[in-house]
Amino acid sequence: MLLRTIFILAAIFLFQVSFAQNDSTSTTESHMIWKNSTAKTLSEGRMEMGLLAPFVMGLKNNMQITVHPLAFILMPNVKLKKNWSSDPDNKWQFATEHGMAFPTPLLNFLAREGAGGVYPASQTAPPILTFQNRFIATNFYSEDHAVSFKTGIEFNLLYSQYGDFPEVELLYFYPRMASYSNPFTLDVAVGFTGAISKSFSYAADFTFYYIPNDESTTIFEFEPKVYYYIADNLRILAGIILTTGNVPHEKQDFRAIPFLDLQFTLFQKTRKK
Amino acid sequence: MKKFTFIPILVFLLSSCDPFHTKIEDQDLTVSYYEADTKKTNIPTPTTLNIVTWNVKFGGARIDFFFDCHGNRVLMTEAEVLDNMAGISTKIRNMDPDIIFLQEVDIDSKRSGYVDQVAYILNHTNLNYAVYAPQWLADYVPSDGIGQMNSGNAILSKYPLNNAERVALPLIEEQSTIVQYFYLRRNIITAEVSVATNDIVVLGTHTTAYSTDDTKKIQLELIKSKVAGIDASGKDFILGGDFNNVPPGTIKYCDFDDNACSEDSPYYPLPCSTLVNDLETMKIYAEYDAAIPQDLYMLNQDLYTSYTSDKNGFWNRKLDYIFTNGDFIANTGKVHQGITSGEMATMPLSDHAPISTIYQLK
Repeated sequence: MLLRTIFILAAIFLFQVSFAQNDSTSTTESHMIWKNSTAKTLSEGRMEMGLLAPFVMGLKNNMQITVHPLAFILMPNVKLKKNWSSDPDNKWQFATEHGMAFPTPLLNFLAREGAGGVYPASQTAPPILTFQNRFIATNFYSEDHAVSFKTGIEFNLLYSQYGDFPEVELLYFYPRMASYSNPFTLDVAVGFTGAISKSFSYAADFTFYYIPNDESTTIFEFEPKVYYYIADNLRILAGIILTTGNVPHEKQDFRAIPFLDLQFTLFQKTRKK
Repeated sequence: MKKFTFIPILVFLLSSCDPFHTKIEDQDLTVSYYEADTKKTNIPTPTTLNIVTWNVKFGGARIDFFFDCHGNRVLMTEAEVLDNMAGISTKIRNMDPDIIFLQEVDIDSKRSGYVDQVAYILNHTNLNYAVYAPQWLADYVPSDGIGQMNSGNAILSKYPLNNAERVALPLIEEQSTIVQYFYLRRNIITAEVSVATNDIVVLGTHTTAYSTDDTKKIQLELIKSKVAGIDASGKDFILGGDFNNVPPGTIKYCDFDDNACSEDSPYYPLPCSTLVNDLETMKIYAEYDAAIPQDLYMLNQDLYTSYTSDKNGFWNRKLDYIFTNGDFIANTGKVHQGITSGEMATMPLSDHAPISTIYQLK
């Protein structure tokens, strides 16, 4: 039943992508300049943020930096993405992404008595320093649509110090935190990105996670998203994460997590011509 | 404005769902049936039944947890729980009940190492069958680091249990919506047992502990109404459980010396002035036979106390009860306070002592 639901949703999504491809006029220029999950990076000086989304800024040499400012106080984090393609008009684009995070203060903040106590107050989070690396290859198979193939690995450089601090054994959360207490988390993904019309664009990632714990956890996520462009510098994101897998002790076979975000561009440096 | 209509739709969807699956009443399976891996042979035609009730404190024994303020522990390891369950099972084997009502028994909780305690007890005692109804269920309780929770009431028996039901008791009205969502949902678990020529309805329950409104009174009234209905239908019942209330006429009913909580703790005991004896209002003693009859209790209250949060102290209040509309054999009711009233010390096993009595079959 669960797999059937996922396949039906995926089929509807792929049908809509194909349909949109035949029908749409070129809107790549307006939509693709926004942050997306392809191998492309933001143009130099362009800055974006969301109520939930991180701050992203395009740098020189086809690089892009990502920092989550709200989380930064409790979880210092930074991610750098570099597009390695020599010609930005090539159909194939390649990028690598490298990031670090130090979630220990956040975990200690969540180890508290009473409401909001995700972890027991009596336990202290160990030092955790995660290192993420991802390779992205994108094929822009039409002017407005692209497919990306991604693979990444995340590990905790201080894994040996983890000890008995509890884990959050819930779908969605587990693969994002599993590298703290396991040797690594591996992910492989296929992502579709494109424009539906001048006002709408879409993105959808199919992601597979592997965590080498006692149960050899495998998790599958499908994350379709729709963006609605209110203005050149403002868009609304609506999406859902559908996830299933054998997370240790997780009671549910399947979870659906809807989300909304408002994303906007910040001051943009004008390039000299 | 039309452009934004999907926002309230999503908000509605989010608010109307049960993301942590705490609403037991909405779920397909509210009662679980168990059988021991190996069935033990019973006396074919017994004339009496040994009945026990025990709040086993989720196999936490005398670890000092945050909620009793004697310590700060939240989670146990699987090894700790198995060790504690071995002690509880030994005591149950010593008491050799035909039917036992258990409260605060965990079957899949992070705090108790995900040990299925109902299955464990069935496979380590002479009991063969069990029914279980959750009273605290959540994929994750984001409070005090409790995490995943599946804890409830169980009835274990040497004889088959049939037609089990979970009867929901009212939630605590004074709690905020978010607290209530993640909080305990009390219940009565009922089942039918056929022994010799007797068809008996057995009911286990555990009423609220911390409410300051009249939730406990309403819950007790509902319990009484449930057993009155069974009685009126001509069936026999045995009701056992933790009522979180002292018997009528109790001399010491508040200001107990085992309290270790400070006034700002949510677990600080209620002031004496706000405590009402709901059991007195319920008048259950007047209508049904009790394992510890009221007159015996009034003669020596200390002999029948069954709870203390202080492992270094002694039982200081009676919260646990067994009632029937049938007959308990006179003077068979006892609280297993220690070696003198049983065969092993019970203080190290739980914050409650078990109560037992002998039921006379017809």
